[in-house]
Amino acid sequence: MKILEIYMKNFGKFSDRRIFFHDGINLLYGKNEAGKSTIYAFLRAMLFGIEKARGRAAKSDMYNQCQPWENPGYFAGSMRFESGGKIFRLERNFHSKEKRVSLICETDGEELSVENGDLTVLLEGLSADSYDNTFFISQKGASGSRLAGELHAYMSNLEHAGDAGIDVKGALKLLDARRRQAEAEKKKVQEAARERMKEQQARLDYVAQEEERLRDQEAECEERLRKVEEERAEAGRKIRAQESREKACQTQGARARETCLQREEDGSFPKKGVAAVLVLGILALLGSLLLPGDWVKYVAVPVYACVVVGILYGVRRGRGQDFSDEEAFQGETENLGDSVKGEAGRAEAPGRAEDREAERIAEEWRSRLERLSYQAEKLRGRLEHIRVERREKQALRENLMENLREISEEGDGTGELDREIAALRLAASSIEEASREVYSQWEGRLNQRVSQILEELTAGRYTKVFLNEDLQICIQTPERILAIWQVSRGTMEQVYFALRMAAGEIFTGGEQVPVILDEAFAMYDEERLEQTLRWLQENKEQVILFTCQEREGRILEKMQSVDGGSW
Amino acid sequence: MRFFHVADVHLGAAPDQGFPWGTRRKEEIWDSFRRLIARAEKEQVDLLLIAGDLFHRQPLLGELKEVNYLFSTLTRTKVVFIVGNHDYWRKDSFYGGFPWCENVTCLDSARCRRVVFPELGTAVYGLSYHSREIQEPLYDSIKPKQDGLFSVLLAHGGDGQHIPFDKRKLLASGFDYIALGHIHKPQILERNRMAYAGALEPLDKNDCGPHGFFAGEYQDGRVRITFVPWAARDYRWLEIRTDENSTDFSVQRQITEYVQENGTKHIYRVRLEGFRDPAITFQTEKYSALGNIIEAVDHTEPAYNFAQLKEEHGEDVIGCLIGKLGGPDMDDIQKKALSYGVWALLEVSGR
Repeated sequence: MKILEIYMKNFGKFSDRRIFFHDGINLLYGKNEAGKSTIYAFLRAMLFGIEKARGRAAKSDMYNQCQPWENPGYFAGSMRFESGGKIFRLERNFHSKEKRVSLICETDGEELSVENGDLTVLLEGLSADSYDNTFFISQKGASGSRLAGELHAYMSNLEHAGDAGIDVKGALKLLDARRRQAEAEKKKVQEAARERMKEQQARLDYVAQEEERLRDQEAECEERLRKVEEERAEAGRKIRAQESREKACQTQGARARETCLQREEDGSFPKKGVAAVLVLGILALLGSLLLPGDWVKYVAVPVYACVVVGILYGVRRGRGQDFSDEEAFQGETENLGDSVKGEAGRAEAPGRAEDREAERIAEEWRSRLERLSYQAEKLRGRLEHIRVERREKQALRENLMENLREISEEGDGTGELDREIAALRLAASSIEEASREVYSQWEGRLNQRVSQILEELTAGRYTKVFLNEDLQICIQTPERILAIWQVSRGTMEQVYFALRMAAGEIFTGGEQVPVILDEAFAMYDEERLEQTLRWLQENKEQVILFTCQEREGRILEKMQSVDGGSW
Repeated sequence: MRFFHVADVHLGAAPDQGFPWGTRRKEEIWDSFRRLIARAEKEQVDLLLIAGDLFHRQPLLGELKEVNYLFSTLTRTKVVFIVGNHDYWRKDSFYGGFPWCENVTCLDSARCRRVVFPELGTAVYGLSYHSREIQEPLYDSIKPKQDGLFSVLLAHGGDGQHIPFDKRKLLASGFDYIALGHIHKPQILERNRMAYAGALEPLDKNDCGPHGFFAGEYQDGRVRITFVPWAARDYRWLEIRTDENSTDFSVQRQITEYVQENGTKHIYRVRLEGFRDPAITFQTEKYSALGNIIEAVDHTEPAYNFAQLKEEHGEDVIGCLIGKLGGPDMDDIQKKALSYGVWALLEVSGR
């Protein structure tokens, strides 16, 4: 690609100004403030456009610097260039409000699209940054040590990108920021899911607590029912005993009541004994009535005595039984105790009173049984109610547990974010891998070409440039190896220049694009300058060189091959 | 003889907890069932068949009583239901010994039983789940009696863990109609012979599409079933095609308009497909404010022409990255990674 002419309609201090370029070295000589930098900026602006910076940077950005002094609204220009044997016309309006660009092939009238990258193709694939890093060399105010640092940064960036225009580290940083953002989002989603789980868990805990409470109530109720049932059984026994006692007494008559009671209570021996005694007694009575007078004294009296003793014995045994029952009963209950107490004391009371007392006690037992039955009925109802309620709670608790299990199985809904994060990680690792690959691929080529250019520039004084293991730039002379800080400022500049030229050639695949130099050789001594200009003349199709010094012109004139240009 | 074939009502389920409409869903499912009973009464259908999972979990006693009350309001309709895997018949289930009103039959045995309605000339066969899972193909060996009655099989399951069955075998078993439950998507497996009623109400976002039940009629030896859409709301896919001109706001507007047009009561799953300007980010997390949006997934790809980029970039990192990740058999994550990678590299290279 070669630039044929530029037309600055309104750009910085220039308006309606046209400059033509030819093959070989175009020297643009002018004193300070003559406008060299403006033309330099115009070339760059035509090729890559001007982005208006925002904020604080806007004060000193290229857009503001190059805005026309007069008619700032009319901020435009054009450029004609040749590429691949065809001539193209590039027109741009830089004004931020009506930014426009058009690219037309004059040779065949085809309209091309800058937006779609047609211009980049004509520029052999060079982006603005890679152009800046290679063939667009502006004034370097850098000191020697800073230049060494810059060179080093340049090399390490090359190592990362294989294209000094691509800031791999910056890209990785962007991806990292995106990933962290996605991870934060994921955390938020997880937090919300956990919150929901917690809510469910709290409900579950509450229900479980309720269930526990009901279980306690159930146990307590069961225990109370058991006690009531026991008491009821006891009362039942008492009443049945009393009833059968009464029955017996009724059939035996009032006189035999005590004996009857005794029989009931004493079991087989006293019953048989009392019966035998009674039979004896009756026989004795009959005997005393039927047998003659004196016989009575000898038979009936001892028999009577025996009967009386026997009955007394039997009664005492029966009472004894009663006492012990009474005591056990008192131990069990309190409410009925008062009325029953003292019965023992009245045990020997006359027959009628005793009957009434027994009747009263039986009555008390009956009402007690009734009350206990009612209590048991109530407790059973209550127990049933508690059991149903507890089963209900149990079912609810199990359902809630199932809910919880399902929620935790479902995951927290971060699948999409997980994929996002995985993709961002993969992107980062792939970029790192790609940049290593790219670098190793053309590291060799670059080293070779830099060395070659440096050898040509220095007429064989330096034969090789390379990076050592510590990524330090080293320069090999026929005699020895020097680290970059061991060489002179001029040599450093030459190494940098060689690097730029070599990298540029690799970026463009060896295709020619204009080399544009703005005061690039201010630090060169006469000899180096001549070597460099000679190299440019021999190796580059088109060079545009801005300078405020006369020595470039002098040398070029000496080389008798260029026309000096001025404007 | 007219019947309703219903399944998977999942009473007691509370879908979409944590979403604004989630608080109402539980109630809506109950209401839907209530409306269904009222409809059966109004139409005086003869038979209401419920093919399992009437409840979402073990029914509480109160819930059974509510359902029984609803059944008791049916003056003509006989109800037959089976217990599914969700509310399976457990030893301590409240199902045990529950006094259903007289028009209700629960075929609660684990073995196939039948109930005959002589006045309807119909016999309904079925069995209930007594465990959460049943892997044996219990339905494969069931055959109706040859007694001239219209025979219906109420069946629940069909996947590996829930009574798997062979569709052809089941069809060949001789039932006049096979009323299926368990799969939530309504579908006819054999025309007028065998169908999944689907869930009465959709239960989660995977239950997209209409939901309801089948209304059937048996006449002169022929069955005809018709799907009746019934659910209070549907889950619906909302796919938005994007291109380089789409912006976040334009997409938001599209969503809003679509939701307005198709019903704000429905629940939408938004999916963005197509390309986007690499500079545009669709803020899908904000879309939930545009309606009942249960999820919004961005599947768009930045409108990079990877082939052209590769051409332009040749052997630099971008070119190499495209060569590395790009390809015809990229998976989803690789695609995303490539877009992200190219985006990041282009972003910093100032183009």
